[in-house]
Amino acid sequence: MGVVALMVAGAGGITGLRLYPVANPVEAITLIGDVGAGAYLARASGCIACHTNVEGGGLPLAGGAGFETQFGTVYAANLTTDPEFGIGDWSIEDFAKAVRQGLTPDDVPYYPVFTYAFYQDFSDQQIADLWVAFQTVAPVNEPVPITDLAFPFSERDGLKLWRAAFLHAPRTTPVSGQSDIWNRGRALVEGATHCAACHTERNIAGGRKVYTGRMEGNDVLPGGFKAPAITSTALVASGWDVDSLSYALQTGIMPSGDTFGGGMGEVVQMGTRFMTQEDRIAMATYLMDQSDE
Amino acid sequence: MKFRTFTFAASIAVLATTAVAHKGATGVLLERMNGMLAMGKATKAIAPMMRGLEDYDADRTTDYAAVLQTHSGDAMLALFPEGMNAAPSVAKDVIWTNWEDFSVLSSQLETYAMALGLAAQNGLGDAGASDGSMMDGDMADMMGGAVVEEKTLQTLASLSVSTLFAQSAQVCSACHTKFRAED
Ligand code: HEC
Ligand code: HEC
Ligand code: HEC
Repeated sequence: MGVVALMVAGAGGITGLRLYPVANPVEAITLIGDVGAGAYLARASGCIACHTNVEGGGLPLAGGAGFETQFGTVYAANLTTDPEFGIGDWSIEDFAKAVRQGLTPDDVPYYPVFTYAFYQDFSDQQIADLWVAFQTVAPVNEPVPITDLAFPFSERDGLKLWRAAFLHAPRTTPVSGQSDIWNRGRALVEGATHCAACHTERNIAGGRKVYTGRMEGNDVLPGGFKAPAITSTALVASGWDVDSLSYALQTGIMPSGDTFGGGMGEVVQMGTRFMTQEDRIAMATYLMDQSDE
Repeated sequence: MKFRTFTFAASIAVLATTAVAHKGATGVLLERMNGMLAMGKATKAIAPMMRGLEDYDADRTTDYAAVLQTHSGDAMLALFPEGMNAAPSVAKDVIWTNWEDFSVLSSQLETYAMALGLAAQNGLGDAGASDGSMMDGDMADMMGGAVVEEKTLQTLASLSVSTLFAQSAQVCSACHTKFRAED
């Protein structure tokens, strides 16, 4: 679908789109969650990193700093148990729909800055784990700033078209013939830890170029960051191996002795350093051998 | 004398780091980059030992701590005169609008360097472990709510060398995240 057509449709057809259904049915989730597993997944998935305004001294999960995108500034929501400004009055099914489908309880799409595309394959058990972990977070009775985008991007219903064109399934399904470690790494890299959110170039409408630009890097990240290519070929060329890569995900130290900066420093400090050694090795194993591409 | 120091630094730069020669930095900027590069080189050299892949040697830790100490704290700040970030520098403008946070990070690194020096004889500790702030079963921390203890030299010096090493690298990375742009 052409980008121009998309924008025109986005600008012109919004009223009609409001009625266009996008939600898949959400089944009741009755599994018992595990707080530890949920907190671990929340760390790995960057929920805490994005939804906490560390720079501004904000409380944990009370809402993130703004993401300046080409289209305007988007704010990560307050995810504390506050019923007014947080998700304190949500059901687990509302939560599941937001995380896996990127839709509000009323089926209005979220902006794709929220990396829900990568969480589509989270199991009911994983959702239940996350849910109970979020229940342990103290309420913060404060709103986040209003998201401020230029028309047509200000119209959330226009995102339904965006979703139709650019919401890709994560590449998390196991590949037969590969080791368990490799498949575990693949599920983490392509799913929860959403490396491609930054390391894959986006087209002019902000969609990831998953067919041509997978892991090829991105020069226009929010905040002016640039992420280099992390295809297996690029990683080998820059001197990485499984060992140095898993170590960098733990410490931020690169093979040169320099340490990560940019958004990557945050990925490690707020996320991967909290993961287990086994998971970091699994991720590195997959990254150094993305051989089914 | 000043001139000699400068040419000496410059010739080291040419020998050791083609990257900097290639970037064409001079003066304070060159000195700053060399300081950072010296810490990077030292970190690279010591990382295998800190990971337990090489035998632990307390003297190497002491030497490493000295390198960090030389290039952190006020010594580092002195190499960031206001507005000094024209190309090839990748230092961000926010350094000077948020000088306080920048100085805190620089002095934190110095504190870690001193702590590493004091802790060198304590031994490496568990090199496979993470930086101590994670999987302790402390849910508040996992969900982002840990109380950040003040990191005094005394509390730090009681930690193991591998933990201090990992945490000092977090200081480098925190500063690079906030104050350094990508090339
Ligand atoms: C890259 C940053 C980022 C990451 C990672 C992220 N989020 Fe978000 N999230 C956002 C943004 C931005 C919004 C607001 C989107 C909008 O306004 O359309 C949001 C919105 C939400 C909402 C909707 C809240 C409401 O009040 O409507 C929920 C629920 C949510 N995120 C949960 C999560 C969970 C759970 C995770 C981890 C599994 C997570 N997020 C990871 C950025 C992020
Ligand atoms: C928030 C955006 C973001 C996310 C998410 C992200 N990265 Fe990065 N990554 C970056 C940036 C920016 C850099 C450049 C860092 C620098 O210049 O210091 C980078 C650099 C890297 C490098 C160094 C590449 C080289 O050329 O040496 C590796 C390896 C890497 N990232 C791996 C990952 C992995 C693995 C993940 C998923 C766990 C990931 N990244 C997720 C933004 C991101
Ligand atoms: C207080 C902030 C701060 C701290 C702490 C810090 N750095 Fe830096 N570092 C910077 C800035 C800013 C630059 C970019 C300098 C420039 O280009 O003008 C940089 C650049 C670098 C470079 C690239 C040098 C070049 O020119 O290629 C390396 C390597 C480096 N730092 C290593 C380290 C290491 C290792 C540590 C920790 C032991 C560390 N730094 C701690 C701020 C910091």
